[in-house]
Amino acid sequence: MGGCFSDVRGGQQAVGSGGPAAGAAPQELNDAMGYFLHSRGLRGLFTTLELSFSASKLRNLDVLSKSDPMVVLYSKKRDGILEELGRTEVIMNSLNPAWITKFTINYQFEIVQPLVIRVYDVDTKYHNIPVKMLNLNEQDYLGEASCALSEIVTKPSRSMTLNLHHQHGHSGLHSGTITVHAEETVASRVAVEMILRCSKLENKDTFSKSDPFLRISKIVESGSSIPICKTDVINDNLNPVWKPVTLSAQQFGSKENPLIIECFDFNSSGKHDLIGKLQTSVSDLEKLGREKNGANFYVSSVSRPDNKKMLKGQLFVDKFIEKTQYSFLDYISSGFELNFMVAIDFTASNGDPRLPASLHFIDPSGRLNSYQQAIIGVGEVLQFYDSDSRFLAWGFGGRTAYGSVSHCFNLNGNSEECEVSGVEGIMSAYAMALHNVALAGPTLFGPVINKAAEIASRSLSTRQNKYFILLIITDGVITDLQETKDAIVKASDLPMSILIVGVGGADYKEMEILDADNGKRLESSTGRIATRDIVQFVPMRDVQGSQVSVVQALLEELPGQFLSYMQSRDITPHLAHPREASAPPFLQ
Amino acid sequence: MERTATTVEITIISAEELRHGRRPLDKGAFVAVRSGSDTHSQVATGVDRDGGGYPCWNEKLTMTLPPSARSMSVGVYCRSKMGAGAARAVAAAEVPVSDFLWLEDYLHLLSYKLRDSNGVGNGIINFSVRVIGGEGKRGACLCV
Repeated sequence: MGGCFSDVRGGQQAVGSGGPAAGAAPQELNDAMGYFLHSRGLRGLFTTLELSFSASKLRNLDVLSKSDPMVVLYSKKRDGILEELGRTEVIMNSLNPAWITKFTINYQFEIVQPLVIRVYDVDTKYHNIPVKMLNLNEQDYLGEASCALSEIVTKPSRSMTLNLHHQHGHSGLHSGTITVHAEETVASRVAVEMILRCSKLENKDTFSKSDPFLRISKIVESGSSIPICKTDVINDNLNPVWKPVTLSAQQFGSKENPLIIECFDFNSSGKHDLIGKLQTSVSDLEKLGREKNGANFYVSSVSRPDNKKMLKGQLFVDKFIEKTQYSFLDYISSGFELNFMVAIDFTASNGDPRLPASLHFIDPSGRLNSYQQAIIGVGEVLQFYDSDSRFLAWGFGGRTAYGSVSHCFNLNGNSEECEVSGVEGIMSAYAMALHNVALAGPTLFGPVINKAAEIASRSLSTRQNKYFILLIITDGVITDLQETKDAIVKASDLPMSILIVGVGGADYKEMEILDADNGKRLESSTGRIATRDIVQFVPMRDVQGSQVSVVQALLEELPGQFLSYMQSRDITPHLAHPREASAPPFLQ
Repeated sequence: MERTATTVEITIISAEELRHGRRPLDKGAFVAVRSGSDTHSQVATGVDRDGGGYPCWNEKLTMTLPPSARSMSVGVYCRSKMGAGAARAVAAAEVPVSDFLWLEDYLHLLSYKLRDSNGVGNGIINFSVRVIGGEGKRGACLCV
């Protein structure tokens, strides 16, 4: 296992992501830093995929020879409009082509990315024209297929074969099949984990000692430096030892690539004081660790930047290990699943469901209420990651047909089984429950979280390839804050994340406490402390305009939380063909 | 709960924000773990020479918990003079065994608030526990 708990967002929290970075870094560097800090050694929000295509048994439209096929790839926007992403080359005389041109596309976990693939037979007379200039209306249409990007990446081989069909019906017409293959464009899975320590740092604070943290930047070809990693802040200490930091090969490039390590004194204003800096590289750091030597920091003179003043403060590397870092998609495509569970608030503060003012009002016109929007928004993204789409659905704070108020009842009305089938299953169970359950109260989260935790823990005694996601949709302030904290702290040891959506206009200050993004770890009544952040809270105030972004905000931390669980337990994906099982050449 | 003696593998990872009075703890911290108040069961890590208030050990300890054990005591001590002097109790946490005994052969990652002898909070301890499959209990199923 890899040292101290590596909370994915730890560094960012500790250094306070709000304030500007020290020094006058241009905006784009701050953006780059935000991105890298968000991922902190992990591959972050965006994963670049390369899509490649092959087809078989295409229709033959040419009389004297075979079709000359070309693929055009589109992404389908939310409003249904297709945006062209690119075209392959034309392959001559082939009904079973494998195209060489690859499409680069950013995979985003938190949204559904629908794709449309169209195949055309390009007439011989156009063969001298660049494919981008071709007027598609003049070409023969061979068929099309559509799928979501997440469908491809969850397949074991990351390949998916689709039947080609015609745009306007004509079903039954044989049009052949197209196979899409997605490859993650990752140069290397290698990463280094280091424990960094400093000694004899200069004191920058008047009434106490400095609060140091380190920032590691990569020097790029243009000579400028891009921050790639930041440690946590250690208060009031001139000989700090930081939590282990992980740098991926993607971040540091090659082992010889020059790096700048700067040591700052943290200031809550965001204007951190530079204590000293030094230039090094990953291989230099490895050497420092092996030889147990320290490297001295220096400061550059303001008037003559090349005039360095050496300082007493030194940097040491206490641990240096190379390890393999798997991506979220490595796990997902090798059989790991995200299991979706949902819990819905049936407390009286939602208002009588029969009245249009109620948050639970089901509009006969089909306009979705906030609960339905949250279920669909999260469910339609997560459904691809659960192979059987059997979701668990509960309600809380309602009076069921059995007479008493229940803080965790099965949404489908079944006394034994809370499982429903697909997002539609949740929606119909929800609509049914509104008829059968009387709204009551108070608002308790504890029983629902404990139930979900029990299910997550039961899965551990069999195979460790499931990760559970509990979505709680609520309109109000919880009355069992301590019990909820206790349940969350316990659940932090389990393969589980909790998403909370607040609907309506209540004050959600307490939810912000549960969402430990401010860097403070949750503490239970017995003194046990959460080992990682598993809660994400989003208020859904403006349900009309920003529905998409609300769901995105809710889901964006999930891949990181999933990885922090797997990595801290050394659980590796079962890759059929481990690419780069051994270290790439530059690390040997 | 009916059970036999259980062997647990404890990896003491690190501690955070340890203080001695108002100042960060000196170097020389180590951790001792024992079953309840049974001092004979005590096992201890080596001395951390670098960390001060943020010591890091990553050291594996093995101990046996008798069936009667309700809790495990995890205590931080500090040896002055760079580890050569006398050991002084800094802070401790009582860890209910129910927090990890419920599942064998699983790496439980646990953190607890530490308190000094007066009950005042003093830092956090991070460690992992793996319960080694006991005899007669679900067999020795080492699912690796």
